[in-house]
Amino acid sequence: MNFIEAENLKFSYDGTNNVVDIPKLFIEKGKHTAILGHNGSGKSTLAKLLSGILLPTSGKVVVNSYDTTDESKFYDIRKSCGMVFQNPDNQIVASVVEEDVAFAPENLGIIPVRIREIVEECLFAVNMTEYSRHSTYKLSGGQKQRVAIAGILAMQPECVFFDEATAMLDPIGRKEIMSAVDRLNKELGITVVSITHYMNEAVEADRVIVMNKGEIVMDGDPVSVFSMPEELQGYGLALPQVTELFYHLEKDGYKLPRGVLHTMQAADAIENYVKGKNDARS
Amino acid sequence: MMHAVELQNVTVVYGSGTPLEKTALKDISLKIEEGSVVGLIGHTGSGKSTLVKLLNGLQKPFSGKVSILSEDVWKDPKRMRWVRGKVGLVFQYPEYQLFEETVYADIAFGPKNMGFTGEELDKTVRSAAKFCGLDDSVLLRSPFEISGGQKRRAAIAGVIAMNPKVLVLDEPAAGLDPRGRTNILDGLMEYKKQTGSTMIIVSHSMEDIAKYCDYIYVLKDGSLMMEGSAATIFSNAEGLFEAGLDVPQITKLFIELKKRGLVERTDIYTINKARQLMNSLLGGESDAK
Repeated sequence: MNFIEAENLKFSYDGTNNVVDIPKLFIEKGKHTAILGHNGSGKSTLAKLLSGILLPTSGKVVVNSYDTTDESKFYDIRKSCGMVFQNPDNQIVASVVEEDVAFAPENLGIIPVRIREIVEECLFAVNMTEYSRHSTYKLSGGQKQRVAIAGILAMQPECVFFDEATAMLDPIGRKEIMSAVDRLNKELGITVVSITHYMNEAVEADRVIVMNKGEIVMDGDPVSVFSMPEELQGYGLALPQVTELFYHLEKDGYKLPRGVLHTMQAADAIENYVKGKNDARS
Repeated sequence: MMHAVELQNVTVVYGSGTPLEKTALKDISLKIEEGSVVGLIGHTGSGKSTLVKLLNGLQKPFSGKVSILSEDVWKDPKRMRWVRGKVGLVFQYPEYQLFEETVYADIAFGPKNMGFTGEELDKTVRSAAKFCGLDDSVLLRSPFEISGGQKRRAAIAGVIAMNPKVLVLDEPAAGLDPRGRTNILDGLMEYKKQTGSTMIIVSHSMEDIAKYCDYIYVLKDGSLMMEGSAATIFSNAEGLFEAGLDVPQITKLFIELKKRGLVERTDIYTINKARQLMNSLLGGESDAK
């Protein structure tokens, strides 16, 4: 089932140049989709279109069966899709952590007892429980981002967009967010669309979409997309380091599997190659 | 040799005497050689940003001494202006600090206030823009109408235009795509090469740190936990994990291969080195071990 459907989707900021031009795109419910592309490729604009923050110049976007241009469904669309942006400073509204997370449920008219539960759950999900009484402006960038994510989770949306939400985090923080994202996706069945420059994050998705000049140029599971290194580099993207190493080794004349994304896969492939070589000798 | 930066037993405490008192840096001593590229890494909240703020006098140490180019930063308050001119600080997301009507005017703001005028000013602005990969065509546009990557470049150019002897960059490439990262960092290296200035880079990207830095400091909970060359630091993967950090993916691969008895070395952090070693491992010569 599709959670988001877009058809003949065009968007232009200035009325002449289309920043996004996509004939057809479906985002499946419950799946984790990653959108890759260099700066200016139109991926953030696409995310804003798919979540109803921007309205198409022409064409149509249907979110959770609501047309995003239908003003009477404005709140339903907002409730179904949350978005976590790159810079949490743009997203944090309150001066105390727990008040910030409570902002959305308060506005949704949820009873106070339940709000407290939600706030606790959400802060726990991003590992910020001990900071619940701290002031938001004194937090580090990574901590702020975790609060912003908790604030979105507190709306209990069906779909969450992450627009480079891990860009400011340290590796551990990034891992925590990634596992939180994974939990949302796998355990709560929340549809996840993540926009990222980190290839290591994209490889964890069910599906990878690559954008260039407002168009979708690659679309498939991570293995198939990352098996085309030249194409990806042509679109200004880098490969995960092991994938790049394997690509060079292939050029050096070694027959190794393609589309290797993870450290363990790479180690297995190298071990097998060495074993094969030794067997052939003996 | 003169040291670009020297910290002697520096401690920083926030909210001293209040219930929220927090020691951000504990007894840090370090010396950064002139002309080197130094990486500063640490988990979120490890004190990196506090350390960076010490370097141009935005943060006063609770105890200890901060020296820039052999001069005590806090000795004479009137010299602070001199310190700020010598140490260029590029904050995280510097593009939020753009404010002028044109990119040119924004880059010119710093040098103008330092007394540059006429041709000298023009030359400074254009050369700073060039180091940051900004075309002349961008200079007359509004900094609010250009792309995110260009904004970042414009903001960094504004700091470079003051010709700092020590350039401190807090996550200069965060949020940029791989091509943008390489372009900005390569441009900064070019600036360093041509001017002989010292660079201090704060980053969460272990790959970038491994690629560009001569020397690396690792902070953990406000203390200096490790220091050394990239090879030394990344061969101590366990220490880094303990500090809440990571090693480049390629290093992880070698750690795993060592576990399986296929290689001996784990101090590998660039693709080229890995490729060389893999060639000797896979190609029949067993001296990869």
